Amino acid sequence: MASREQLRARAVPAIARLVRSRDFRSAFAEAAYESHERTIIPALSDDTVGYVLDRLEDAGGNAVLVLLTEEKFQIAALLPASPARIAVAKEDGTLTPVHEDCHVDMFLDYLAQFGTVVIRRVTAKLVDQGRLQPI
Amino acid sequence: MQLKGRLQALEITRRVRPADRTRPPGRGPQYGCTTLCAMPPGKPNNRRLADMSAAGEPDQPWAPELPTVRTYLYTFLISATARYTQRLDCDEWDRLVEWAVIQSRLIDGRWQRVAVYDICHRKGAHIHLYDREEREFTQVSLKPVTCRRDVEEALDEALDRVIEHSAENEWRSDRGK
Repeated sequence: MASREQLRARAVPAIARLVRSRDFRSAFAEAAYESHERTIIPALSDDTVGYVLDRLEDAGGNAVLVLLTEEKFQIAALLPASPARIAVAKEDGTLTPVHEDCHVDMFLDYLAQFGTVVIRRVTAKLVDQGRLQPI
Repeated sequence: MQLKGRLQALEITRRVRPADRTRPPGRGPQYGCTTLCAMPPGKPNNRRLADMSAAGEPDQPWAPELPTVRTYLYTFLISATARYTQRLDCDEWDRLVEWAVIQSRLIDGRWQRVAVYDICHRKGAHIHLYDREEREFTQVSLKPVTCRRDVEEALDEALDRVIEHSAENEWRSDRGK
């Protein structure tokens, strides 16, 4: 039986092909980054958000979460927010607590509930030792 | 890590795209062979070239027309101790010039290469294997690269192969042979 690491590795070729397409590179550069270096976190649907945050910490707080299902890629760019952005999120009620045991597919589905706009911004709270806490 | 011990927040930008079903998997933009495929047959002056080809003259290794001006680096973290890196070297037209696929693992707190698949050095696609001290102990040829299309196809094969053979690569790395 394949380990979770092996299962994640199986998604790597498909994601690697996706990210090297020029359309994706240019669209992604507009959306989130200017650098030509990315850390990508391939995830299984039942990986936890805690696992993702551990890898995000390994990556220095800046990475791209990718969930590959049979039908589609689901992609979230994770990057540190500025104190000003956090303040705005607190004011407009978009500061979102997420439990570390939450599964990745639930997390991405939750983000999808914000509507039909392709890009949405949400702020979550990460506290001591990289663990999430309700706000 | 910098994230530990202090209040942090994440700003999450999400983009959802359906998988592209209209393009065969693993095929990027298609290019014609631009280096060695242009000799029209039938003219007297070309007869000797045709004969050389028929005699099995090996193809010349592919050489890019333009040098690398930009490098894209994608690192895939698949656990706390294992990762793969795809390096894409592109020319000023953003065409792929060279690439490498690197399998690494964390040993004693340091990322070390286990295997590197690449087409650098005009050798065609090949693998470098490294021992636990990250000393290269062998190279293995995979396939020749004679035109631009081969560059992309060899990268697709390398991606599949590095995943398929990751355990074997680690086993060989541990043994150093």
